[in-house]
Amino acid sequence: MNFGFAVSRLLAESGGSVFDSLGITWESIVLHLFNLIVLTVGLYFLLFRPVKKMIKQRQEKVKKIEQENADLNEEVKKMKSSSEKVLSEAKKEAAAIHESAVKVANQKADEIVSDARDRAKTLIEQTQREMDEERNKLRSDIEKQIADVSVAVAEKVIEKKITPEDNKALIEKCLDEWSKE
Amino acid sequence: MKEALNNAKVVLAMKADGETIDKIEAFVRARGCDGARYKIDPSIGGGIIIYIGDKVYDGSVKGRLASVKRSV
Repeated sequence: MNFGFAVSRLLAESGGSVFDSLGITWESIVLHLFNLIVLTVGLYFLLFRPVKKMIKQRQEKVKKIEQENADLNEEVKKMKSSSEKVLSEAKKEAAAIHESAVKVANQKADEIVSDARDRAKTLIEQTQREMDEERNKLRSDIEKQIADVSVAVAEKVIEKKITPEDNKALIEKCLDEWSKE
Repeated sequence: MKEALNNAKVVLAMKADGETIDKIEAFVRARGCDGARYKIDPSIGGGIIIYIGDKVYDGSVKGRLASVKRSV
């Protein structure tokens, strides 16, 4: 048995209007309307407005938080940019210091090598000079010894081989030479 | 003393003949000497050395070899 069948049967049994069969009067309708209005107004003031206000406040709070987040993001971005700039400058400065140090080290190394070369050159020249002097002295000594030996040998040979005739010719030759002076 | 100064000193390696002596005498007289005193010294090797005052005429083999030695 359903609700429609029950309503049609009730209408048939009562033989009046639908409102009468349902027991609804205009006073009850007005009363219900009034209740509805009072309920609506009450709900509006007691529930809808506070909720609306709360939502608005929450929205403002969210907006404020979003703004703060945006500001923070901007600040973080600025700080990041600043730190990157500082890091870049530090890297540049470090590179410049490294380059300068390398340059100084290379210059120092060049000076040391040049100095060593100069010293080696001077030492070689000095040694060469001493060797030349020693060689010349040795050569001179040898030549002197050869001359001494040669003269000694010549003296011995001449002493043994010179004859009175040779001696006479030598004396006369000397006298002639001296007379021409 | 004066005579000694005017005499030349002549050193020979061996005795010389008269002709050579004459030439030596002529040489020393041409240089203001009255004569010469002779000395035989075989160590000079040959030739003659004449001393006239401070001047020395060295024609000895020994002297010439010494000269050659100095030049070398």
